[in-house]
Amino acid sequence: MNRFPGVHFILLLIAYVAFSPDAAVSADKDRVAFLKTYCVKCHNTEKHKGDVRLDQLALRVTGDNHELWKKVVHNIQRGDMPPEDAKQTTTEERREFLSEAIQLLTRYEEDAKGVRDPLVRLTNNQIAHSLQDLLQTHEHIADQLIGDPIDKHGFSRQAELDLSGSYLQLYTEALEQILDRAMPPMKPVRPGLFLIAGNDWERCHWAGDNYLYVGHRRLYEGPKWIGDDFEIPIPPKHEYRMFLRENRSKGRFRIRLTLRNEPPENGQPRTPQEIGVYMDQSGRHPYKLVDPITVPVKAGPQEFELFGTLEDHLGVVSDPIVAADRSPGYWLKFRTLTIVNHNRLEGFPLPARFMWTEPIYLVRPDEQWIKAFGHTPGLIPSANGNNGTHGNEAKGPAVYPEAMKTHGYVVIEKVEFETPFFESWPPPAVQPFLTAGKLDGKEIPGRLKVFAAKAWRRQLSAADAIHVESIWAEEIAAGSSELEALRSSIVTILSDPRFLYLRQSNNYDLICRLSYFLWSGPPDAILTALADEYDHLDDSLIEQQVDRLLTDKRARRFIEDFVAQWVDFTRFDQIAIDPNYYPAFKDRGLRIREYMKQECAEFFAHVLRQDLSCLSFLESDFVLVNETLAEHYGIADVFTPRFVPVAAPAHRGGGVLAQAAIMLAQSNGQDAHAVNRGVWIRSRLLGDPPSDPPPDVPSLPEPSGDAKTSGPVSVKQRLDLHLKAGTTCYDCHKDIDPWGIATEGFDAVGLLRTTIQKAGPVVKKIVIDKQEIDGLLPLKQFLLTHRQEQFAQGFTRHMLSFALGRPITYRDEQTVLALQTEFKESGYKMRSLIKSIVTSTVYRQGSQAKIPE
Amino acid sequence: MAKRIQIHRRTFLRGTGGVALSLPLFECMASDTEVETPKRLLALYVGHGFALHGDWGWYPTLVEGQLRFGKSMEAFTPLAKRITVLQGLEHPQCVSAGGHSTADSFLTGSNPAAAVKSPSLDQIAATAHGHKTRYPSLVLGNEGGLGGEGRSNTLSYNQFGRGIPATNNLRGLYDAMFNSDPTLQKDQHTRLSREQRRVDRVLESYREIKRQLGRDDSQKLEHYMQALRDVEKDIERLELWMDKPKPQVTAAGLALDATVKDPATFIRTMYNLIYLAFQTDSTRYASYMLQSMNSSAWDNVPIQLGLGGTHHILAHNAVQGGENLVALGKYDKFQADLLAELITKLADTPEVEGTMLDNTIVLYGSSNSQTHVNTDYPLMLVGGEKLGLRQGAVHDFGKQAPPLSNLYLTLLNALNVPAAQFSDSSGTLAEIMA
Repeated sequence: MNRFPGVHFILLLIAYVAFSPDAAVSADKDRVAFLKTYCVKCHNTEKHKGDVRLDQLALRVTGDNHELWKKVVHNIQRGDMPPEDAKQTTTEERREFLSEAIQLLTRYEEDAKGVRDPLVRLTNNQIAHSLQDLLQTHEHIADQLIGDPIDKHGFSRQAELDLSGSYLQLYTEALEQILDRAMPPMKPVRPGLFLIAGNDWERCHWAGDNYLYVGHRRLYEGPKWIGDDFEIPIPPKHEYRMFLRENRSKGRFRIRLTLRNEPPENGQPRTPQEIGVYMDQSGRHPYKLVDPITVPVKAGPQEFELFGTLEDHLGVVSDPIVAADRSPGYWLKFRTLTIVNHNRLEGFPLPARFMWTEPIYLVRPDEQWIKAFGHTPGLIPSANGNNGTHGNEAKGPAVYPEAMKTHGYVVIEKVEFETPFFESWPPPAVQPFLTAGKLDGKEIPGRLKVFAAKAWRRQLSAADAIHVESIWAEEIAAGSSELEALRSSIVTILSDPRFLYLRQSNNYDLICRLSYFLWSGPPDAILTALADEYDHLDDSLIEQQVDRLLTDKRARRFIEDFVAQWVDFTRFDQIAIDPNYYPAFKDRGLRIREYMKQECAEFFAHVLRQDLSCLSFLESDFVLVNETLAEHYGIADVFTPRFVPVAAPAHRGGGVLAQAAIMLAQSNGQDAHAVNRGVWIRSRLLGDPPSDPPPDVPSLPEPSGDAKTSGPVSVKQRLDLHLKAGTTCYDCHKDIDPWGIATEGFDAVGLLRTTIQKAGPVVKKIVIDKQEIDGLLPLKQFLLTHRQEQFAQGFTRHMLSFALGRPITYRDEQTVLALQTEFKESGYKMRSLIKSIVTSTVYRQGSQAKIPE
Repeated sequence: MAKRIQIHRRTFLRGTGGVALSLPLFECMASDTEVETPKRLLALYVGHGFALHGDWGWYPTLVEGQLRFGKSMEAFTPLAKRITVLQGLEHPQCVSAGGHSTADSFLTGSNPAAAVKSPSLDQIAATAHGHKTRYPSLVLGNEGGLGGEGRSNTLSYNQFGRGIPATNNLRGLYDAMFNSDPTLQKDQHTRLSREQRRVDRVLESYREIKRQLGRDDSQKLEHYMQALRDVEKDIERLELWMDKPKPQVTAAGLALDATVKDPATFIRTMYNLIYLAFQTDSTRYASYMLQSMNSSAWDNVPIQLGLGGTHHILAHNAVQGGENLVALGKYDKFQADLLAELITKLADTPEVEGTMLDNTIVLYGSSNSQTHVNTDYPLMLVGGEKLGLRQGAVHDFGKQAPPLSNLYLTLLNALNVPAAQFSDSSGTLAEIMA
């Protein structure tokens, strides 16, 4: 198995040396000598130049001398000290001294931070997910809270989370809003229901035409549901779009579709139809996916139900709808429901992509329409004869009747859209508080106690029970109605420190941490029962639970949260794609960006669910893409909105480094950023973040005459310049930039290129460990063969940090090594790594762990 | 009612002991005794741009040291000495954004593609001084609400970069600031006392957990306690304002039921409310989105005025010049006439030091020089001389213009908000200061 048996041993040895007292003593001596030789002559009792005395500087970094040590390191790093007229250090001596001193500083800082608190605040995502579970809603409030701090190297900083008055206020406000919707007044009829089904032209428009310009617009506003007389066929690469006179921005919705799978008219058999159902708050970017559907081969009507929350389908525009509004583009303010057939269309050219439309035909009113309605009400003839097409697509007769002859297709029989949708009425959030279908003031305190026990993740003590009762009693005493009092009591219970903070002491806390690790939410009844039943949860019990938790759909939260932190979605979200460099992204950017992020999560989920080796993150022969992303990468024959595993294209291969999200996040939106990519590979893939650049980095001297005349410089040439100029920058950048330079063959949006705008041809050949690496594919091979152990260590560190909710410090090195060994022995299976982590001493003990001296 | 709640709480805090809660002196009360002439800001925005050329050109020319206005801006002639026109400024990050996608960056300087904006000029000022007035700021807009990304209906983004919905509810504004009707007060009382009850309950939990932790000190728990105290302070602040009688102004002459059907009356009423808000020191900062780039009702106003097209269409057609340019110019005049009325009133109202206009900076402009062009914003500053501004000039920063954020940083400093940076600023604009 292990092709490099020595590596492990060497790593252990290094760890040993770093902790050995002899080595420490000799390093101390070296630092004394260094200071004595180069510093103390000017910085002593008599001279103390610049008011700095170093003759009495203690060798151990402490609170007293921390600032002074930082100053010493800073000045030597910058080359300001020793001054030019004093005795100069050798490069070797300087490096040695700095590396020792920086290590001491880091340790001091880690220790100072490492004062462990018995409480850990839930992250914003954990709070949001807990509310979903406790209140049976689908709302996600994390965005309404003040953002959690982000670690620039992708490690967890949960241990540092704190809160402020404004945080509590925003949180309470968000809670109140959720409760207003989750626990609406208990009227027999649902409030504000928007339901379309059948004949409802007040609420729904059908778009069957180019809708971009006045005069070309043909919105049907007739008296009948179009499907009553006009079967709506959706052949491959066609779409049907409905505009709903409703654009509220919150609440759950349900779409019910009755579809038929029809064979081609030429008598060929039926084929499965891959359908995407999309929803957007406006008509501008109408391709926000609700869910993919596969309509299986079967005769007759088939029903499908899809659910979503409007918050996930917010448009770029959300204007109030004015009933009589007929100003140009008024329909753009409507909610859009788009049903797309993704199947392959053969023998017809696809229409051009125009603004925010996909290369897909609209099903449009033609002969059938005229036949059904005679004179077409509300129909404005198209000025340019451009009849039922997107923008500038080819003119001529409609494609769909022709397409149906040779392609299987789908027929829409019925569409229903309902919002706000509740799984039950009264809504699920209220159900636990009802007695015989009603709120009963006498019963509610008891129900609130059950709720509080869930929310606080513990059995209530007698004092807790009295506390909960008094919350309710005070609300009622203040004259609130039962519903108001219930909502307010819930807000109080959920503002309690017992909800907001995890404690780390007993079995309960262990299972809580387990469920917050793998579900990002509170434990369920099975976990709680385990904590009740056993005094000590042994490893096999915990491992069984890991399997169960990872199979549950809530594990998706773990996948998304971990990937977001590891890949750095925060940074991804901040990078705007510059349309001057990537014109194709002008109107599609929003949609494809979401898919880029999703690719990372789907890939990760695939590795986890299929129990594949985590080395797949370095290189894989498969990628996970949907149709849009496949087109972006130039992968043929993916005709589904679903993310499916397909063979990795030869020019880019698989693994995370080939993923566009990572390339884009480590760019500036215009060009790839080799240094950022290098840092990303070091910190995220190899778990070895380079140290921060010293402040006030001196700028690189301008390129000499020759370089200037020869045109713009590549990152590689810049690095070489550093080497030539002998700047201190080179010391660090020589270990960062090459990693990124090897990926220069791919631009900011992750596409292959041979030249760089404004910078000339791509230079991507570099040397690492005396091995020449020319481009992304060789880089991935290099990582796989020469950096396997280091990747395993990096991945272990990231996963451990995520599980513990804090960064990994030097004190964890032994744990990391042990975990890494087991990880390797398992064949780099993620499931195995997770199990090793949650059964490790450091995880079990949580913050109760004694800090070793 | 309010008194009872307060006594109840204080007794509660004292009575339970254990934790010493020192109730702070409220800064809002300080404004009763301390004489401080307010430093104010009014930021106004019109999307799509103005007619910039010809007789109807928006920019004044400098003739013998005097600003001379074209037909659209004639109403400003008597105020010429109080006005400075800025040319060449823009938000560099927005230049390549969509032609109608820069409204939310106007007052924030944010990258238009960023999901979370940076705080807007008015909100930074309100964060620093907003506690001194009943309302930290007014966020106003003819269309109202948030609008969409890029095409926002609001100019203001809070300290966390979230949009603040603009209000177009004239009566609501009046009620909030000036109406002392006891039924209105009751709702707020109910809300505040409910919040206070919650704080009290959760404080109990805090004590219980602290007891359980014993000697295992938790800093986080202490910070949680601090957070509760901050919430409590805020409740106290609101309660004190509630107990403080609202300023008495006469509603006579305020057309609080005006709608977009009578656009001039609507805007005039909004301006009157701003004037009253400033005069009574109910707030010191107001942002007002006069014309957003995705308006529905308000986009049609020029049609109502007989100018033959929506504001959007007028702005597009203006590029062709001639009559089309005049049509947009006429709409610019509609806006300018109303604004000049407000500014004249500010200039005519004396206060402790100088006039209201002396202590108020008015910023008026657009983020399009012509439609779809996101460079060289037409911008005008009025008043604020007592805050250190020098007026009566034209500054053309030309091609090498600094970022517009430099202007905002300068204004922040003039408003006595010490800031070293605003969004992508690279320094201040000394030119506009005396």
